[in-house]
Formats: sequence, C-alpha cells, structure tokens
Amino acid sequence: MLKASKFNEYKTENDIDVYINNTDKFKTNYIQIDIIRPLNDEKDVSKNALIPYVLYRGTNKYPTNQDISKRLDALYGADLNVSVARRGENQLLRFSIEVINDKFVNTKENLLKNSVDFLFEMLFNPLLEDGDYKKEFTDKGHNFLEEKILSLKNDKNSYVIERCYQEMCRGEDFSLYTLGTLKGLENSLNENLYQYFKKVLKESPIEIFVIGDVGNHKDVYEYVNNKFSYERNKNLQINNTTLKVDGFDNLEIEEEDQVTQSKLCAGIRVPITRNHPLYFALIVYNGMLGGFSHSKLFSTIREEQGLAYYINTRLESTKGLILINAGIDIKDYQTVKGIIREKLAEMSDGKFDDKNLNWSKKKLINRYKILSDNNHSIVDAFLLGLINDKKDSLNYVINSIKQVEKEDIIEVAKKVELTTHFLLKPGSAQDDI
Amino acid sequence: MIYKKFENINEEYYEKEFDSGLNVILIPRNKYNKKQAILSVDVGSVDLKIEDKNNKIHQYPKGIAHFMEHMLFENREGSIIDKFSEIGSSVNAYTGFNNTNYYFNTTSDFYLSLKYLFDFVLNPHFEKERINHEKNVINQEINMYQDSPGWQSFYQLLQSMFFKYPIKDNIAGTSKSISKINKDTLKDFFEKFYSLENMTLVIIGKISPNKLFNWVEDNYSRYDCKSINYKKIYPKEPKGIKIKEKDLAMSISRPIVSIGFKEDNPYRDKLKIIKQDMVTNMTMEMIFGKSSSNYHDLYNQDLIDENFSFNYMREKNTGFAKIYAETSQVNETIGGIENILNNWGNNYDEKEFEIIKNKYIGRYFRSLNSFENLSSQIIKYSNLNYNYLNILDTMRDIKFNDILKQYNSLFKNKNHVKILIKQIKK
Repeated sequence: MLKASKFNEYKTENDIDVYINNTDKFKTNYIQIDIIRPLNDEKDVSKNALIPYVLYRGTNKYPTNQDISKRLDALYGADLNVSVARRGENQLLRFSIEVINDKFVNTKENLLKNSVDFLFEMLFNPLLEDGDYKKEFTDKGHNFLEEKILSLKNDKNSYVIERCYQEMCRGEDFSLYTLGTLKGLENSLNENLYQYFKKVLKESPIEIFVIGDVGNHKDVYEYVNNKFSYERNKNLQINNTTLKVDGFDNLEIEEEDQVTQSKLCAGIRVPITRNHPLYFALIVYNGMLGGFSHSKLFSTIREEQGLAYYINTRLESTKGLILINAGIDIKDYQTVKGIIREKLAEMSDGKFDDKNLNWSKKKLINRYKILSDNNHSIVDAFLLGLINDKKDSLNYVINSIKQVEKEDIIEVAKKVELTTHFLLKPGSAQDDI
Repeated sequence: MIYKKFENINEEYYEKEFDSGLNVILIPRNKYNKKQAILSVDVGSVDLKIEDKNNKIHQYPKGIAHFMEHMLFENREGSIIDKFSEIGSSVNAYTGFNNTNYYFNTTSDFYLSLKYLFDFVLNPHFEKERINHEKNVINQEINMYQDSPGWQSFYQLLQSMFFKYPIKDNIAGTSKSISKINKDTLKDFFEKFYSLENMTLVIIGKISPNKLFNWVEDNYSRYDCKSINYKKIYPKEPKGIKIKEKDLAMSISRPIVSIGFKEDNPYRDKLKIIKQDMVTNMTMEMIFGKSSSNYHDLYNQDLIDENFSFNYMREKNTGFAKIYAETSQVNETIGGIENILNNWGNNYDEKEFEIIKNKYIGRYFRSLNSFENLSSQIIKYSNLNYNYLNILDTMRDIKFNDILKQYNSLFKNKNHVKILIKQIKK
C-alpha cells in the first residue's frame, strides 16, 4: 500500500536533489522544479518573485510568448506553470510542466525528455539584451507582478488571511508577502536581474521532482544530471524559518471595504513544528478545532447556530500558526469571537468527546491515503517534509496519527495562544496601498 | 450490464440500469486508494416549473434545488455528516444548473458509506426550525458570492444574455426567494424529483463490478412507486440578448470585462450538442488561444494578460460562449476582441487546426487523472446518453469546416453582451 508515494532519491554531481517517482497510476508525467530562497529581505523577495514572470516570456530558442505556446502545443498541449509560494520563512520559485505520457499518443518525440529540455531552456537559456534579460520582458513581468500584488484585495478571503499573517507576525520575516511588495519591486528596478538569478541558481537549494510512468528512474536521473551540469556552489539552507515561542502582542484590527459580508481571521501561535514530539497531535488538534465538518467550530458556528456558511482552520506547520477563518454578518462578530474563545478553552480543559478525537484521526488518515492518488499532492507533501527536515513516509505519518491520545491534544491546546483578530467589515473602499 | 474496454485510454467501463430506474456506472481504478461515489439527481436550479399528471402546474421558488441539497443533510437521528465522519469518509454535495450531486470519498467502509449516501438522499426530514436555520446559512453563502468579482461578472453576464430561461438566476436563489420555501414546498419538490428513476450513481475506484451490482440489486433495484409522472416546463427563451451592456462597481484592483455570445438555435440532437461543445471550444482556441497571433497582438499591446480566458458552456437547452479579461484599457480591449472576432473569417490558418486538436487530446488525458473531474464529466455526458470515455472518437470526427460553421453562426457580427466591473471611485 501507499507505494505511489515512494520517491527514488538522487543528487546530481553539482548538488541538485532529484526525486523520481515511477508509477503508472497517472496518464501524464509531471516535472516540478523548486528553487528555495530565504524569505528575509523585501527587495530580494520582490526580485525572486519577479524572476518566474520574466522567464516564461521568451528564451533564445523560443524568443516570444507565442513561440513558447506553440512549443507547448506541439507537446500535446503540455501544461506549463510558474509560481511563487511561501512555506514558513522560505520563498519557493516554482517551474512545472505536465505532459501526456508518450504511450497514449502516436509520436516520435520523447515528450518527457523534451519537457525537461523545455524547463532547462527557460531557466538557463534566456533571451538577453545588454547583459540583462530583454527589457521588454522585465517591464512586462514588472507590470504583471505589480498587478498580481494589488489584486490580492479582489479575493476578500485571501486578503484577510494575508493581512492576518502580516499583522500577527509583524517584525518577523513571515510577514513578507509571497510576491514581495510594490516598494521592493520599485527598489529593484535598476539592478541586473539576470546576474542576480545566476547567483540564485548557484547558491540555492534546488529540488527537482519527476512523477509518472517514466520507465527506468536511473535513466531519467542521468538525463537530468547531464542536462543540469552547470557550476554550482550551494551555500543556503532548505529551511530558514525562525520559530517564535513567546512575547506576542494581542491585536484587534478592523478594516473597512465595500463588502456585503464581513470576513474574520483569527490568528493562533503554535510553538510546535515538525521536529516537536507533539507535531502529529497538533495536526489532529487542528482537525478537531476546525478542520472538519464535525469539528468544534463548524458544528457550533454553522450547524448549531447558523452564523456562517464557511468556518474553518488552517495550519501552517513550518512557522507554527493556525488561522481561523469565517464569513459572517457584522452583527454576529462578538458572538462568533466569544464562541471561538470558548471552544479554545474547552480544548485545553479536555472538554471534547472521544468521537471528535477518533473521527478526526480517521479522516486525517483517509486524507493522507488519498493524497497518494494525486501527482501534485504527492510532490507537495514530500516537499513539505523536505523543508521541515523530516522525510516521513506516509505510512509513518499514518501510524503516528493513530497513536495520538487525548492527553496529547490537551497538551497542544495548552501551548497554543490566540493573539490576533483581523476583521474586514462593510464600509467604504480603502485606498490602494 | 454494459462492459466496455477503452484500450486507447486504458480505462474500463461498466453500466447497468436497474428495474427501479436507477442507472449505475462504474469506472474501476484498481491502483488508487480513493473510492468515490456520486449520486446525481436529475434536477437543478433551472427546474422551477412542472406539469403533473393531472395537468396541475407546480411552480417552485428560485433556489429550491440548492435549498433541498442543504436540507437533506438534516436527519431525524442527527447530523448526516457525523455518520460519515465516524467511519472516516468525507461527504459533500453541489447543485448545478441541471443536476444536484451528492458524493463521498473514502478509502475503507465503502459499502457502509454507500448505504449512508442512499439513506440520507432518499429519507428527508423537513423540520420548521431547521428550515429557518438553513435559510441563515444560505443567506451567508449568497453574501459570500456577492463579494466575489469573478462570480459577479459571470452572474451579470447570464442576467444580461437571457430573458427568461432560469439559468440567468443565482443557483442559490435570493434572500427573498428562499424566504418562501417551507415544509410543503420542499415535500412537493422532493416527491417529484427524488425518485431512483431520476438518479445516476457513478463510482470510481477499486470496486468489484459484480459485488457492486449485486449490492444495488439487493437494495435499490425495486421500483419505488414514485415514477416520473410530470413534465418539466421551461419558459420559451426569445432569440437575441436581453441587455447589451451593463456595468457595476466593486472594490477591485482593475476593471474586469466579460463578453457573452448566446446560441440562438441550440441543437436538440444529443450527439450534435456534444460535438458542438468541443467544436466551439476549439473555435475559440483557434481564434484566441495562447499560440494564436491574435492573442499575441492583444498581449503585446497590453490589452490582455495571463488572466484572459474563454470557454463555452453547453447546457441541456442552451449554450453560450464567454470571454473574460482584466484590463485598465477597457474600450481598447473590447474593441480589439470585437475586431478579431468579426474578421477572423478572412484571417485563419487552417494548418493550426490539427495542432489544436492534439492540444485538446493532451488536455483530455490530463483531465482523466482527477476523480472529481472525471465523475462530473461522466454525469454531464451520461445525461445526454453519451459516454465521456468515447470523446477521442468524436473529437476525431471534427473537421475544420465545423469550426468555420460555428464561427459564422455564433461569433461573426453577432450581438453580444458586455459586462464591465469597474473600480469603485474614491
């Protein structure tokens, strides 16, 4: 069972990690490259975020966006994605491609190798002008990123989540937005982005994942090893997160916007991360509090009292944060706040039934098993393990969850601390920041 | 029982219709841990009026199908969700224009989960207090969507394209329309639509076909005496569009433009509907796809960016195409798109057609990786008596001439709806 989550682990001669998962479960082959940077400087974070949005505009071999699209079309509509993500105080620059397995189509091309080549071309063979990326690409990337940063407010829920993180972690690196800031972007305008990225490629941890019916994984590794054999000098860590355990301010923040529904985000600090013995208890705790429909918050706020359509919790396990998130009517704000406090207290007083504990464990175990049915989720979960320096197998995770007991939950509940309430409420729209 | 093996995509397919009228489809996926069952009821948000066997007309409040979906989670013995949680399964549901779907995912206790699924969908419990409770929850759901710019632009587009056909209305209804829902309306609605004859069960996962079909035979094969004895009535939708232009202001970072084209003569023939769906999407891909020179031109002029998208929605009784763009140069973007659409007939490159076809083949294989996507497509197509796993054959039959024909009928110099979501002025 759960064989599909098994990666063959390799390291290239120049110290790039290559993880290959050979499975015939999926009809596609998926390749993902993550370049991991510390999230710690406004300007660097902005420059990092800009890179993917410049690179996909053109390369030497495919000099325009249209040429790139045509190349992808020729690979049976291969799906190219670039993105920037945050895990703890790490910024991940991600380049991925998903392509149909050759065996299903009548083609002379080796679609997997061609896809690897394509990603390589994008990262290492950019279109240059006066020793930097083509100016048109940088300008376009700049505008696009600027708009992406501003558009955070279009999705009110994502907006309150980000704002809550920023406020509760004020002064810590985690409060830097994944995509950087307008100011950071502005300040990086006159710097040579190409030279900067060359340094990034040299010094950063790089993780390459390949998953699908890829044949002999050794051959795939050899191909990647030869392809990516440039000079490197890795001197950065895969995880740069600082764990803060005390000295939190209590914050009550309200913002206005032209909205119908108020959005609440409550922030909880958790001094437990992957290496902590209570890590798996924390996962169960999060499920019991608001992770499932039988959880304390959902069953009270939605099922009993009908105060919200959605109410849930999310766990950021690298930094140690839980957010409670709900869409409510402004008149119910104090009531909902009261219920949250009450439920948190019940958890630390041990006032929860065995049902909640056992059901949460069962549902989590199901979730981990199901995770191995999705190629992207397999990579995601494995990468999180790498960052948190704990490459647990799914079987180990499942067994650890099974062993969580009531006392462990109470111990977790006593350690967590609700520090922040962030509310977006109906009023007039704010100026752009 | 129907059994088919699709060598070209490496899938198998079982289907059986029982005496009760229940149709069961199984797609075995023996390498997966996940087992999913989805019970689809052939009633959606557009079904608001029927004529019964005594020629009596029943009219229901907007949003009732969605309200029913919420109410069925209420049960005499307590929460339905809890019963599933107890065995580690996850249960949920969603309501569409044409159907209501109840589903669970599990890795163990599949048959117990399946029993629970039928139990709660077939045994309603309408209690006044819970009806009022659910009204509060749904009002919050309606409010949540009100604040979503993407949802608003789609909703306003439907409102402007359609005069009467209920696809124009919010699936959840309005605060006012759901206030009219009571025990009697729910009971009546349930009696009419929630019969086995009106349901399709789709299962994906490591399940033995014999065991499954025996289980259904033992439990849900008998005629349930609620046979379909009514006729669904839809208002006659006039040709053309209702409103040409509309705008509204929201708190957003830059304006959103959406453009809609409505089919004037939607096919009734089922195979034609399916083909038209693919043909129209490919037509738009040829005109506006990322590798087209039109996309490239608009993109280079900064009139569109990566957020640009288009798609075609072919529903049972209607079809429409929509184009979406975020832009700070609203008039130029709309003008550019209109210009391309009107002139494409003189500009196309037929050679690109085969490449676009291959792109759709690749996309189809990618879609087969996801249970959620596969089951929703299987249901959509099975309601048209078509097997989604056959799509490659139908796709192969598409000729470039079909593309030209659909371009001329839907896009060229056609009246269309333009929706603008502006930024709120400070």
